[in-house]
Amino acid sequence: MMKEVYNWQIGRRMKYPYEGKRPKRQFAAVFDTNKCIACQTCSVACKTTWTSGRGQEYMYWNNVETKPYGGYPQAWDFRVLEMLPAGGWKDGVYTGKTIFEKAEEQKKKAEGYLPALEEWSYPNIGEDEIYGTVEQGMHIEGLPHPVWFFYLARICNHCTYPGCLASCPRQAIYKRPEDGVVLIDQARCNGYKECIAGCPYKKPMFNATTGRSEKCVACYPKMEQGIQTQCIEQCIGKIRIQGWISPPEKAEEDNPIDYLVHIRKLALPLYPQFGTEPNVYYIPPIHVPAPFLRQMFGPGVEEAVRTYRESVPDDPVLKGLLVMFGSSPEIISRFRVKADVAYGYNGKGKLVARVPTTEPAVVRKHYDSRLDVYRIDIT
Amino acid sequence: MNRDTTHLADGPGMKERVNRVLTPSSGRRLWPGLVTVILTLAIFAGTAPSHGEEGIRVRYTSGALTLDPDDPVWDGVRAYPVRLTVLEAAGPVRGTSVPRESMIHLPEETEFIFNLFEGTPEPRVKALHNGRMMAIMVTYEDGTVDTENSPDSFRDSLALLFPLSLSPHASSPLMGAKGEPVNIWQWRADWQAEVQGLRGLDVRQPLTEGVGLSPVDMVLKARYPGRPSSDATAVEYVAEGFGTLTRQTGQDVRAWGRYGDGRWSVVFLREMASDDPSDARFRPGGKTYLNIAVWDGGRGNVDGRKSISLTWIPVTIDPIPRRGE
Ligand code: SF4
Ligand code: SF4
Ligand code: SF4
Repeated sequence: MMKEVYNWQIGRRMKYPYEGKRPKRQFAAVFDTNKCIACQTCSVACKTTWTSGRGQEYMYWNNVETKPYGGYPQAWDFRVLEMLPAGGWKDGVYTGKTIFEKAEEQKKKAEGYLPALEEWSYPNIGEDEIYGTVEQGMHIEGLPHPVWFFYLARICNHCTYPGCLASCPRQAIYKRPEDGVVLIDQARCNGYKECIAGCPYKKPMFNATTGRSEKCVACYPKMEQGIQTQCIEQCIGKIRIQGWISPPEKAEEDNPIDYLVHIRKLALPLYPQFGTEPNVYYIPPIHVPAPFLRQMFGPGVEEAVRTYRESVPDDPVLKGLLVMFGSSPEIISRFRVKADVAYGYNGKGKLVARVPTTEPAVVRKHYDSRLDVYRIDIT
Repeated sequence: MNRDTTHLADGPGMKERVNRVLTPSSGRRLWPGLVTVILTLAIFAGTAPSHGEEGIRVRYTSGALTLDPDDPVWDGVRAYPVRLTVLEAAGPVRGTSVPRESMIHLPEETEFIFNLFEGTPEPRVKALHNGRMMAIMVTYEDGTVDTENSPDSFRDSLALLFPLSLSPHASSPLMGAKGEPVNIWQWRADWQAEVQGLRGLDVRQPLTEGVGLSPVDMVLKARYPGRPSSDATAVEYVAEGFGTLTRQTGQDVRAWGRYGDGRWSVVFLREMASDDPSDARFRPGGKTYLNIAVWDGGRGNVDGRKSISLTWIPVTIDPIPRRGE
C-alpha cells in the first residue's frame, strides 16, 4: 500500500511505498556542468577507492557522460522517460506520473528496467559527439548554441525517496537517519537486482563475484570526518561542492547548498519528474537549447540559465560562492562573502576556505628591456 | 471455503485477503480473472491428493546415498508428480517481466500475484533414506540451462521447503509465517557451474588478475562470502514469511544437479538428525511436509518470481525394517 509523501521538486504530494521521513540532515552536492572538462579524474578517484575488486570491473559509481548521446548505461534516461506517460509541468507542479505512480497501476513499487551487460560496457560511448551538424564555415555567436554537447557527471543522488530502496523486497537498502546516505547492507542483500531496475538513475550495480548489488556510499567514512567525497574533493575542474540541503521552507542564507538550490534557484535536480527527489543538483549548461534542458532539469531551467549569465557577473555573493567550489577538502557548511573575498566554514565553524573573487593579476611589459627579450606571456 | 483454501489463507494476512475476494459485498467489482484465481487456488489446493493421498513416500534403502542423480539406487523408485503455479511477485515486480493482461492479482495490499496463463515445469520427486541420510531427487523440464548470475542474467535454481513444526496448518507453504519458521534448501546452478570450473560469464565479463586487484576485494569477500563455502552448490535458509529469508549459520545440506534431455535432475542430501534448531528434522517412520519452488533463470525468475507448489505435500518416511523382516 502506497503512502503519501511531499516531494518539493515536483511541487506536490506523491505516492511512495514508505512513510516520508526526512533524515536529520541530508547529504547534497552541486555540480556546475559549465565547468566540467570530462577529465574523468572523479571516475578514477572513485574507482581506485571503491571498485577495484573482482566483479567490479564494469562499475563506475561516478561516471561522466556526454549529453545528448552518452549514457552509462546506454540511454538509461531515455529508457526511463519512455516508460512514464508524457506529462508536463504547470506552475512548477509536475502533472505527469512519477516512477512510483506509474508502478502503482501495476501493483509494483517502482517503474524501471534492468540494463543488459553490454549497455554498461561502453561508459564513454557518445563522448564529445555533438547534437546537430557543423556547416562549413559555421561561426557560432551567442547563446544557446545551434550545435552542442555537454558533460554530465553523475553519482548516486542519495534520493529523499529512493527508487532502489522502494524496490528491494528484502529491505536490504536503508537511508541513514543521520545524513540521508542510501546504502545497501551487504549482509542482507541477496542479489535480486530489483534495486537496479528500480533506480531510475541506474546507480546500484550487480557484483557477479559476490552475488550482491553495490552502490555509491557517498564516501561516508570521509564524510563522517567532515571531508568531501573522493569524486568531489579530487575534481580537477572544481565543478563540485558538497554540503547539506534543508527542506525548502527551512532554507538558510549562509548554507552554500541552500543558497544555490533554494534561494537563488541556480542549481536544479536531475530529472525531478522521476519522483525520487535526488540530492545532487546541477547548474545547467548555458549553451544548450532550453527544450532539452527543461526535460532534464525541470521548468526552472531557463531562470537558472538567465541567473548564471546575467546576474553572476555583478553579484558578489554568487560569484564568491561559485569560486569557492573545490577550494577546500573539507565540507563547507556555512559561507559568507565580504569585500570580494569568499569565506567558507566547516561544521565546527572553523574557517577552511578563503577565496578572492578576483585573482590578483600582474600585467608585465611586452618587452623586457633588462634582458632585451620579448615576452610571449605577459599575465 | 474449503479446507485447503483455508490453509492457504494461513499465510501472513492471507485470510482477510482471500475472504475479501470471496465476498462480493466488499463493493469491489470482481473481474473475471479474479474469480479464476480463487477457483484455481481452490483447485490447486484440492489437487493435493494428486500427489497421492499419502503424498511422497521416502523409501528405505540399506545402501549408501550419493549426490549422483544417475546412481542406480534410484532405479525403480517411484516418482511423485507435483503441480506448480507461476508466482509473479511477492512484493515488487520488475518492469517488463509480465504482460499486464496476463497478470492476475489479489486485491489491494496483496503480496502475491499469480500468473495462471503461463505454463510451469512439472517436477517429479523421488526420495530415499538409509536411516542416517535422506536423499530427495527432483526432476523437471527446463528448456534452457542458465548457469549465470550476472548484471543481466538469472540462474536456474530449485528449492525445497520444510516446516519446522509438523502441523501443515501451522506454517504457510508460501515461505512460512511469523513464529512458524520453515527450513529452505536451495540448489543454485551458477554455484555448481563455478565448482565445475564452468564460469560462463568470464567470456562476457573477464575478471581482473594480479596487481590491478585491490586488497579491499579480499576483505569484502571474506566478510560477505557469496557462497557458504568455496565448494557449496546449495544454501540453507530459515524464513518466517516473505522478506525474512535468513542464511543459516550451520550449512549442512548438499546438492548436485545434472542436465540432460531438457531436464534438470537435482539431488539433495542431508543427515536426517540435526542439532540445529532451525533445521527440519526427519525420523524413520515419521512424517513431514514439503514444498517446491523452481526458478527458471531464462525467464528472469528470481526472488518472488518463480513456480511454486501452493500447498504442503505430505511426506511419509519409511521405518527402518527390523532385522529379518
Ligand atoms: S573531475 Fe571534475 S572536471 Fe573532471 S570529469 Fe570529473 S566532474 Fe568533470
Ligand atoms: S540515485 Fe538511485 S541508487 Fe541512488 S538513492 Fe536514488 S534511487 Fe537509490
Ligand atoms: S561519493 Fe564516493 S563512492 Fe560515491 S561516486 Fe563519489 S567517490 Fe564514489
